[in-house]
Amino acid sequence: MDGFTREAPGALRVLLEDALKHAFDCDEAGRGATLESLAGAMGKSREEAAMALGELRARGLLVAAGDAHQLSEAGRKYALQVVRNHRIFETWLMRQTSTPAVDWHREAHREEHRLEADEVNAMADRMNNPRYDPHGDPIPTREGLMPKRPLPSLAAWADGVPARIGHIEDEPEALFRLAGALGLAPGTRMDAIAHLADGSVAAKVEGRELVVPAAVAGLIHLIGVDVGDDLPEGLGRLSDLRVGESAVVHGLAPSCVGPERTRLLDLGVVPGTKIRCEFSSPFGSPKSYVIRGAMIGLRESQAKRILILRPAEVSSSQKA
Amino acid sequence: MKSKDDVLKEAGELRWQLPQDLHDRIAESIHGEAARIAGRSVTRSGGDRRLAWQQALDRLLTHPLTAFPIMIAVLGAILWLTIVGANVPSAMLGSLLVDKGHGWLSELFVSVGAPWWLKGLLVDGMYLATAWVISVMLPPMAIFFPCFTLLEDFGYLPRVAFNLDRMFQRVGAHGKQALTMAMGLGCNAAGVVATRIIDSPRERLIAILTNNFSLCNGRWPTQILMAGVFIGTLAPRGWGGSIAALSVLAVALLGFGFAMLSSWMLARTVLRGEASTFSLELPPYRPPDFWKTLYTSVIDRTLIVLWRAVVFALPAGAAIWLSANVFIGDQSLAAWFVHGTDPFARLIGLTGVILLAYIVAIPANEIVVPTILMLTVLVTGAAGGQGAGVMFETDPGNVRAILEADGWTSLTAMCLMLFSLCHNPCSTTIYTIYKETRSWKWTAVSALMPLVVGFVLCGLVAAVWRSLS
Repeated sequence: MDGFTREAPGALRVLLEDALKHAFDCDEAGRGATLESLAGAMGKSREEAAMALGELRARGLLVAAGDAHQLSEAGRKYALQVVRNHRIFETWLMRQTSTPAVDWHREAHREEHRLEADEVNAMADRMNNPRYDPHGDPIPTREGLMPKRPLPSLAAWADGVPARIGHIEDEPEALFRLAGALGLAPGTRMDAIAHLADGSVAAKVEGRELVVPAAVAGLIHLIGVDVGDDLPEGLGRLSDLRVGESAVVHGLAPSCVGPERTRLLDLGVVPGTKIRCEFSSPFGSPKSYVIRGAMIGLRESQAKRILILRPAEVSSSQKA
Repeated sequence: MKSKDDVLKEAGELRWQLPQDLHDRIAESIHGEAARIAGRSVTRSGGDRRLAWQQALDRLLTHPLTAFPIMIAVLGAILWLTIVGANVPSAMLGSLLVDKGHGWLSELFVSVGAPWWLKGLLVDGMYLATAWVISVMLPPMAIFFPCFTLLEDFGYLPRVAFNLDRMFQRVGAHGKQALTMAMGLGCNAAGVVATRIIDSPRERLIAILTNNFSLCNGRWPTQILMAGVFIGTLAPRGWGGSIAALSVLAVALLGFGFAMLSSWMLARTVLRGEASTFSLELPPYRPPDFWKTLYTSVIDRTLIVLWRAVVFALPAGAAIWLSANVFIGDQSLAAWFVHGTDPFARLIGLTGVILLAYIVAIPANEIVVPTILMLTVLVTGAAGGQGAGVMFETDPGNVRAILEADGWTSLTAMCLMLFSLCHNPCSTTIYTIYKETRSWKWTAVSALMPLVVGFVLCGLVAAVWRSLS
C-alpha cells in the first residue's frame, strides 16, 4: 500500500539491464543481438543502443561476433538474475497482494532493476521457491538454472487433443487482459479444441464452451496432458448453480489465485464438499451458499472460479 | 554411490518435471483430507437444512422487491428514533450543563474574585464548549449505537452488506463498506473504526477515506436548523416541514452519492486493484442479548468517542473564546479573520463567519451552529448575544433575524448545508484515521479531499443560483 521508499535505480543500470535481457532473449531464440534489434526492441535511438552495447562489451558481459553480439558466461548469469528478479516479483504480487494482473508486468519491470539477489532469495523462500511465474514462465533458480521449454501455441495445436495452458504472454497488454477476462490462466484445462475458419479457436474450458479470438490464441502456449487425466463429465461452475440447487465441489479453477484461493480453501471449498445455493441478492450477485454448515456470500466473479459436479440427472435437465 | 552434489543436481532437474500446479494440488488435497477427517469424526445434530422461518426471512430481506424498502425503512426508523428520542435528554443535559452549570460556575469564579480573562477562558470558553458537545452528542450516540448493535447481533446488517455489495463492487469497493457508512451516520470516528471488519487493506482504506461523506450525528442539527429556518420557508404554505425534511434527506443521499463517486475515483487511480478476497458470512438470525448489547455499545463505542470529543473540545473552547477576546488593533482576531475571508467566502455562497466557525469547530461539528451565532453577533453587533466568545443557541425566529443581519439568504443556507456535508472530518475522526492507517499521507488525503469537493460544490451552486436569479 505504501510507496516504494528505495532509491530509483540509475538510468544507466536500467538501460544496461534491459539491453542484457534483450541479448538473453536473442540467445534463447538462437540468434545474436544486433544494434538494430536492440534499438527496435527497447524503443531507443541507435546512439543509445550503441552506447549500451559498448558498455556491456567493456564490462565483459557481451562478446562481439561480427555484427551480432552474444552473452558471455558472466553476461548470461547476470541476465538470468534479472529475469529471476522479475519473475519472483511477479509471483509475489500475485500471491501476496491484490495488485491486478495487468499491473504485474509493469511493476515487476520497475522492481527488477532495484532488487538485490538476497532480497529476491528471501522472497522466494517465503513462497516455498516457486518454479513458475504467474504467466507460466519458468523462474531461473538461484543457481542460475532454467529449463528450455518451447511450447506450441494454441493457434498451432492439433484439433481434438486435450491440453493445459502452460504459458500466457503478457504483452500486448490489451490481449492479455482479454485472456484474463475469458478466465484463462496457466493450468487451465482445454478440451475439444477446434480451429475455426477465421483463425479463432473453439474449446471446452472447464465445463464451458469458449471461443478464443485468433489474436489471443497466439499468446497462449499449451502442454499436453497425461492419458487418463480427464475432467469428469458434468463439470460446471458454481456460478451456474441456481437458488435451491446443490452440487459437490470438484476444485478451484487455476485462475483462482493468491489470497482469494487461500480464503476459499480456508472456508472449506475443497474437493468433495457439498455446496448449496441458498438465496441471491437483489442484483443477482453475490449469492449465498451453504458450505459445511455456514452460510457464505460469494460474488459471481468468485463463483465462476469454483468448479462443481452436479448429480447426473440434475445436470442433464439443466443443460438447456 | 552418488555424491551429495549429484543428488542435489538430479533433484534440481527432476523438479521441473513435476506438474506446473503441484503446489496448488497439494494444498487442495491437504485441505480436502482435513475436511474428510473432520467429517468422519464430527457428528452434527440435526440436518443441514435451515429452519423454515430463517429461510423465509432471508428471502424477504433479500428479495428484489422488498429488500430496499425494508432497508430504507429500518434506517429511517433508527434516524427518527435517534433525532426524536435524543431531544428530551439533550434538553435536560443542556439545561443542567449549559444553563445551570455555566451560570453556577460563573458565579463561583466571580465570587472568588478570579480575573475576568481567567473566568472567560475556563468557563465561557473551555467549559461551555465541552458542555455543548456532551449535551448535544451523548444522547443521540447512546441511542444510535445500541440500535445499530442490536441489528448487527440479530444478523440483519450482514444481509444489508449482501444486498448492496453489487453496487460497491461496481465502484471497486467492498460490500461491508455499506455497514461502515451506516455507522458513519452515527459518528464518522466510529465508522472509521468499524472498517476493521473489511479484511483486505485496499478496500478498507477506501472505506476509511470516504466515510466522512456519511452525514454524522453532529451535522444533523445544522442540517435540520438550516432546512427549517431557510429552505422550508421557500415552500408553499403547509409544505414547509415536509420540504425541510426532504432537503435534509437529499443532502444525506448526496453524501452517499459522493461516497460512491469518490470510492470509484480512488479505486481507478491511487488505490487501483481488485477485490483481493471477498467472503461475507451470513450468520443465522438469533435474538440479541439486549442488556449485554446495550452495555458493550455504550462502553465500547459511545464513551470512547465521547471521551475523544471532550479531549478536543476543551482546547477548542479556549480557542473560540480567545479569538473573540484577543484584540489586534481595534478588532478581535475573529473579526480580522471574518473580514479578511468574507469576499472569498461570499463568492462561494458562504460567509467569513462560516469559514471561521468550521475552523474553530474542527474538534466537534456539534458546536458549529452556536459558534456561527456567537460570531455573527460579535461581527454585526446584532442584539441577542451573551457576550464575546460565549456560545449560545436560540429559537428559530431569532436565528433567522440574527443571520439575515449578516446578509444571509436561502443560498447561504443551502451552501452551508452542502459545506456541512463536504468538509474536513472533525479532529476526533482525523485522529482516528491516523490511528487506523498509521499514515499521515492518507490522513491528509481524507481531510483535504472532502474540503476540495465542498469548495467546488458551493462555488458551482452559488454561480448557478446567481445566474438564475
